[in-house]
Amino acid sequence: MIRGPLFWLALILGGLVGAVPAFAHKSSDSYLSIAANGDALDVRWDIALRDLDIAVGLDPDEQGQITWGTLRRRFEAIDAYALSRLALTGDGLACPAGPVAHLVDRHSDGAYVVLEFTAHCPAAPHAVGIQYRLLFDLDPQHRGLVTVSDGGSVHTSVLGPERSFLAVNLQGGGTSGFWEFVRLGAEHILGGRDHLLFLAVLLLPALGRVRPGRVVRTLGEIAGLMSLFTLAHAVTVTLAALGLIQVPASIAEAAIALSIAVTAIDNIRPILGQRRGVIAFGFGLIHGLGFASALGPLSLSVWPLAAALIGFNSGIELVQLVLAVLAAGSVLLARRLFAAGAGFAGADRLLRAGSLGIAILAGFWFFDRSTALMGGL
Amino acid sequence: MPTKCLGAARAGCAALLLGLVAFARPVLALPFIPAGDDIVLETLTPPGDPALQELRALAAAERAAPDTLAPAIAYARRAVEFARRNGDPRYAGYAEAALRGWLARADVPPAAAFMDAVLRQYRHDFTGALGILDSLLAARPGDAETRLVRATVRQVTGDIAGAAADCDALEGRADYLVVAACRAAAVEAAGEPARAARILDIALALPATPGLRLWALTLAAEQAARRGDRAKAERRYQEALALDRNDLALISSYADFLLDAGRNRETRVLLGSDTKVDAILLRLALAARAEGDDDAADLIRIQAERFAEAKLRGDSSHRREEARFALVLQDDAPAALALALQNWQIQREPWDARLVLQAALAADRPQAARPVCAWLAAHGNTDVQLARLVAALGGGS
Repeated sequence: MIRGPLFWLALILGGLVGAVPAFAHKSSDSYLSIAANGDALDVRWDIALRDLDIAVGLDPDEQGQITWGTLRRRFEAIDAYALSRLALTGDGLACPAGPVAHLVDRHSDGAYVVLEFTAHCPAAPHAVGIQYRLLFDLDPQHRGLVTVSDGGSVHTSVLGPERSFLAVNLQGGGTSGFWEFVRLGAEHILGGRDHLLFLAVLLLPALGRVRPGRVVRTLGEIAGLMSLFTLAHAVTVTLAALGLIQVPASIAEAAIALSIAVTAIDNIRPILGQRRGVIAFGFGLIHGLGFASALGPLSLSVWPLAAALIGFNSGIELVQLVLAVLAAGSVLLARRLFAAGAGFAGADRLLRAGSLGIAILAGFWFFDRSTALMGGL
Repeated sequence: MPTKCLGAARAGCAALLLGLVAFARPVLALPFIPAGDDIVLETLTPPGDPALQELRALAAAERAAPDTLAPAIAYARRAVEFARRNGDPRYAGYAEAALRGWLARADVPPAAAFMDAVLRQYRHDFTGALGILDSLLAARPGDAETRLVRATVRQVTGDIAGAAADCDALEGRADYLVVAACRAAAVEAAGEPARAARILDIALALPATPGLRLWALTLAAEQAARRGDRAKAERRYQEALALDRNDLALISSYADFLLDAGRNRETRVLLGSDTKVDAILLRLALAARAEGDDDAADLIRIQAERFAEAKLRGDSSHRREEARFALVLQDDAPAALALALQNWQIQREPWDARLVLQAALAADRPQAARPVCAWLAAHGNTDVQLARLVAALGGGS
């Protein structure tokens, strides 16, 4: 009674105050990689020997070490244990595992057994389901790092006790991952009022100058500005996808609102100088941060990552070009309909009024987001 | 002209993407079939290790009585302790598994909630840990153990006044050395190192259990080093090492002390070769690099892989170590600064401040260190190394 609590106190204290406790061995992970190939799923599964030792016992003679010989004697037990905790399905139907080949690989934290097998689905699946339960009963901090590929696209996920099921839609085609990202890019720009509003204030002055006879020139000017915006946007998104930068969403959001307000004010009273291109690029970097904060590092290998990034940014650029053509077209149409009369003064007034409205709205967003930011700190 | 600009922009965009993509992550190595049955693939904790045997016995007791709380708590406590001492987070996971059923209940037993808080603290979920500790203390303000853990979490997260209040409340409820060490840490952090040293010196002169003594000695050594009293720090470290040469917190701390003194050879001897433990690997790499050893590049590469794998898993709790790695071993001051600043939002111990200051200095961005300088000034910094860094940064003004 007297010794008990204090003894424990001492033990807990020993670790509590030291600077290192959690920074120790790597935690327990397995690496499950599945390649879909027609009705076959080619599986490679790396499981740490230290984990298998706890689960099925790899050191029966208590030698304090695992040799290839002792490991080989336990293959059957390892397969029974691991395969009973992984269920692969194709469109909801079981894909049973074929014979298992056993190899060894070294990760940065030690030796892993590599299980290689092919699971056969009843038919070539459109969607693969993975139910993963390895080790969760013994170590809830265990994670399964899953990669599913089907030629073109690669999907990665981290499975844990709270999320142990993963469904991946297979695309089937070599470039489908690319188009998926084009669509994502298009949705990103269409769904973000921040981006549309910024583009509107950026392009308003040039749009105001559209008139028959200089349509091509104006369109070129607009496209140039937007490409600079996309380029800068691409830079920050790429850096985020590679895990090289990480920006808190709250800061990026506030900066974006500020960039819209500043550009809108610039339309009314120039404060940023004449270099519209520089504005497009500089603020493009900031707008990229907004998405970067949501994206984080994509765990893809080289080519899928390149395809994803190029696809994503192409989607953005595509939508912007379509929108610019539509906007220029409507300005032209409006001029023809209301002809003469209004003239320059009217267009100028419209530009100022529109910019003022946007400046006030964006200013309000900035205030709102930055106070939220202060509150969060 | 504009169309040309558009083309150039697209070409530039593509070139940039491809250029950046070229730096993408490494792929898995090739698996192999070992050449013979007697090839050793993995070394485990020796089965004869007394701590491991005791842990196994406790695990068996827990399995035998799954509906009784006491064996589960006993096993979980010993498993966390084992995880800490050996630097193996798997055992913290095993502790969590033993508690799972109890934590899922409608009314969680306080003992299980307490262990949940300890595990959260271990995983650097300080907010989660504090929430549990607060409600436990609201119900049972006299619980010394809970209060001590909260004092420690408050100290780590920079709530110095809160930590001091918890230490004061321990008076008469815990071992004298526990109260003294707790108070000394808070007193030092509040800007009175001489008083902190006196408190610890007196307490260490009294008898105590070896585990507790080792912890207090480590603390005393670190405080002496921060005051700039190297001789006394060395003495305290040696006393602690005489009690146990394998305590991970102790040898990590002593290794840092040796590295600061440029005693790289001794660092390597102290740490041995257990590169599986990240805390050891990082310091081995630092010593090897400082000494220009042949294996420096290998050690740095393994550590980089370890960080990359942790990132795949979504683990960002090691930003302090990552910042140090980026700053010293990858010479990437801007990255180190970003990591150190993120870490500063979560942890506020001397090392956390030091990394922000060093990285800001190396990146030539003194203004980025301003929040840290202000915090140090507000708490009356007395750490000689931090003071030098603040001065080098222009006084933090």
